Amino acid sequence: MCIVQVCAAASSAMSKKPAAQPTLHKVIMVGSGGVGKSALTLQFMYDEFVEDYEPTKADSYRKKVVLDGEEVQIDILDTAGQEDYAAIRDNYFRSGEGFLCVFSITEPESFDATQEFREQILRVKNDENIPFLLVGNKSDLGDKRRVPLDACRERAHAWQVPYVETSAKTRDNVDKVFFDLMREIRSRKSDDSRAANGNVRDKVKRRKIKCAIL
Amino acid sequence: MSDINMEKFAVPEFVPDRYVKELTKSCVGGEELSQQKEKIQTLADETASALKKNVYENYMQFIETATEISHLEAEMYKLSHLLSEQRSVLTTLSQASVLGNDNTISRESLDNHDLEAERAEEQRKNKLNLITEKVEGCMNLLDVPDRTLLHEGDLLEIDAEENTALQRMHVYLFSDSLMLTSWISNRRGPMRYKFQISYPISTLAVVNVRDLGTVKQAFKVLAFPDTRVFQCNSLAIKKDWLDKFELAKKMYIEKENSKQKKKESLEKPKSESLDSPSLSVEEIQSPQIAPLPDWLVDATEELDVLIVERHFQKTYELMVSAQKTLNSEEFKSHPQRADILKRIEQKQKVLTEILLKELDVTHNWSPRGGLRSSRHPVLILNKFNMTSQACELFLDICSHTVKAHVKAVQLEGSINSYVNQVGEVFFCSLSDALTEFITLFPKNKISAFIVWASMQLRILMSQIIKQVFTPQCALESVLESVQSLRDQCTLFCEFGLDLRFQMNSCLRTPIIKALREYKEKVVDSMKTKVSDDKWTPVNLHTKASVNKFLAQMENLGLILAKYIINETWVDLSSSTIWFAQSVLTVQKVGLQLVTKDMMDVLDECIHAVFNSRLMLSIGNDSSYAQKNFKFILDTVMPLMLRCYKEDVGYDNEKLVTLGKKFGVNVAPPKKSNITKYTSNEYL
Repeated sequence: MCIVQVCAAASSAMSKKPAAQPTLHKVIMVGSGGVGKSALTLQFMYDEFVEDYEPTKADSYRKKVVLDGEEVQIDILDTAGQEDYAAIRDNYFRSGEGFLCVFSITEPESFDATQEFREQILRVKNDENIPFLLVGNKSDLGDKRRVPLDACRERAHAWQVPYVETSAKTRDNVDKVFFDLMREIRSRKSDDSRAANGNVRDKVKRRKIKCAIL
Repeated sequence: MSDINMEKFAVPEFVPDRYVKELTKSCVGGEELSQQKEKIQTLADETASALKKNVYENYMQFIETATEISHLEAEMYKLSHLLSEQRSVLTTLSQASVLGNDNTISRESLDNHDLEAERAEEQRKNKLNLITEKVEGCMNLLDVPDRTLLHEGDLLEIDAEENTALQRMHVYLFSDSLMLTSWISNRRGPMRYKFQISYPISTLAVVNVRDLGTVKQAFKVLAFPDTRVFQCNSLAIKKDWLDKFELAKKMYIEKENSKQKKKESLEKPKSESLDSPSLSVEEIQSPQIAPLPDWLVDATEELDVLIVERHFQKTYELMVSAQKTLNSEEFKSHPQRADILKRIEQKQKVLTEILLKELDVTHNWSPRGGLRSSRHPVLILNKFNMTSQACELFLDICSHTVKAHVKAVQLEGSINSYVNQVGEVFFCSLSDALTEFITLFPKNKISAFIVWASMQLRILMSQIIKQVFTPQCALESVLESVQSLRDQCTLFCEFGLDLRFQMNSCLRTPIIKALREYKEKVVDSMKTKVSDDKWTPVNLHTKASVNKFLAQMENLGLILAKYIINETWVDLSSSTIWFAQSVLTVQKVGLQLVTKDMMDVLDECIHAVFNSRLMLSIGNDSSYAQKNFKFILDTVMPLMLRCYKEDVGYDNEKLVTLGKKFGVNVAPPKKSNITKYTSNEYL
């Protein structure tokens, strides 16, 4: 993944136009159907809450945001919760840099399903430390809560990921999950580039060729 | 009068009758007509010779082409064999897949739908072919059997990072893949698009781009590691695309599911059949029998290949080793043994047929390989106990080669050199055939060769006799030809085959005929020669011709030095000289020409010639004639008698009686006579 980033940087540096576009962070929303992935995305994107439910296939959004004083772009891929074919899902996951794994605190099945999503993401990305947030949505429906907070925290701890509860309806923690994930992605990218610092130039040079091919 | 024009003949609608009519019309008188005829005749001759020359010039090319064709034929045979094999494999495969198909519909309903399905299939293929024509460097669209086009259209590709337009694309969505093609800016010909890449549906993820800043109506195709963003002209078009992608995905999933199911259903019956009791009898037995080695199982196929590749020796070896192995204790009771043996037997039949064909001269056999080329087929046929057939065919080939070799000898120069060459060639090829025959066939077949060889000799002799024993031929030239043939025949005896008797029996009749003809000729002209004789010495005019004459006579055994008078005159009449020459020639040549069984003919000829001369001298009283008569009786007759005895070992009784009748005392040859000739000639 770092390679892709370095490569992207190299290619933008190489192109005649100056890098007009700010850094792009690719976020993927995963989770069972109806847990509120699209609602969260739309709330984050447009500050509005869509009450009507319409199953998503795969939608993408892009937005310029200021992350800790730096202008960046966030690319959100809102995936289908009802995807019945795991192999197709892999294709989506491959393109992500960070994941918001969403479940509904009112629906234990959706919480159970996060396990499966987590495993699939780790398998596809082949990376234990992939930027990842476990998100319990619909926190505004506290009275209908059926997934205990302890269980959620326990799972997040086991995965060594942050756990955040959100409400797409009240916009509670919506910005937080996206920004936290972007921060993770950003730090991850800088870690990667630092790790490769010693031979970053070489890498860039070497990648140049590959970029041309891509 | 019209000249003969070649072009007239070349016209396709040339009618000979009409042409002749026109010609005769324009001609005045028979002479002109015959002139025309002559012209046409020469034209025909010229054409014929030109044709011959052409044929000769093209001969080498023809031979080359012929061999090339035969090579090609073999190759084609190989190819067709391979193809038929492949075909059978494919049919078995398709049958297998039909049986394994889950949704096997009954044959009838299949037939009902056949026409419709066929039309749809045709349409599908046409569509794909059309695309292939349009797209430069297009992949083979027909290689996936049920690929169909779901959607196509122009899209603008957007840079995934920069949101800037990249290029115009023409995108095809097939049931199994997405093909991206770019526009060819300066296109010529039917190609409109250039193939860029094709992604299988299974690796694709399509994302509806809801918001990409300024870019509207876009969708994303994720095909790791590529991310491609396309912009549509309208929302409807984008929706169409997304729907079609969804459709493709669904079809793919369905197909995968059915595959999965098929796999499961296939696994099930297998496990069932294992414990099905009906197969138990065979199942139990087979493990006890050692499995046949791979090469043995594949032997029949391998034999086919070897036969086709014309490795006949290897074919035979494989056959023998396979039969041997199958007959060994280990496989004596193997269930497949009989089957394989039967198949090998069939292959053996095929092989022998091919080999027999190979040896068959009438079946495009080429003499260029020589006898050696037939060695392998013969040896293998021998091993199959088909010696007689092989022998027959081999001898046919030998006949062919002998004929070809003899034919190749050019008839130029004297007849004698031709006969000499033909004889040489004939006996050489005969000896070649003999050595080859001895190495190839067992001893008991040699009689067939002897019969064949004498047959060949008879054929050759009948041809040569026609050429040599022409009417009015000189006895000396006949002798030369016959002698060269006899010499070669004697040389051939060194190979262990004496054909001299056969040769002499062939020569017997023509020799007798030639001798008798010669005798008739001499006897016929005797009368005129004697009656025309002026009974004076002969003037030879020059010293040189005298010497020549003396040498000639000495060659025949007569030393006439004392008959030379006044340097250039011979003291004998012309008829006497002629007679001496004739009769001495008859005896000298005849003795070498005839064999013992023809002695009576020779005796008869000598007697007749001599007798006719002696009878003519009666009543001729001129003193010079008497002197010549005396020369004949006193010098020629004893010389002949002596030579005869020296040659054959006994007296020529007939001539002795004749001599006695005319008062010649021959019994003890006079000593004075010995000096008159040299007997060395006859030793």
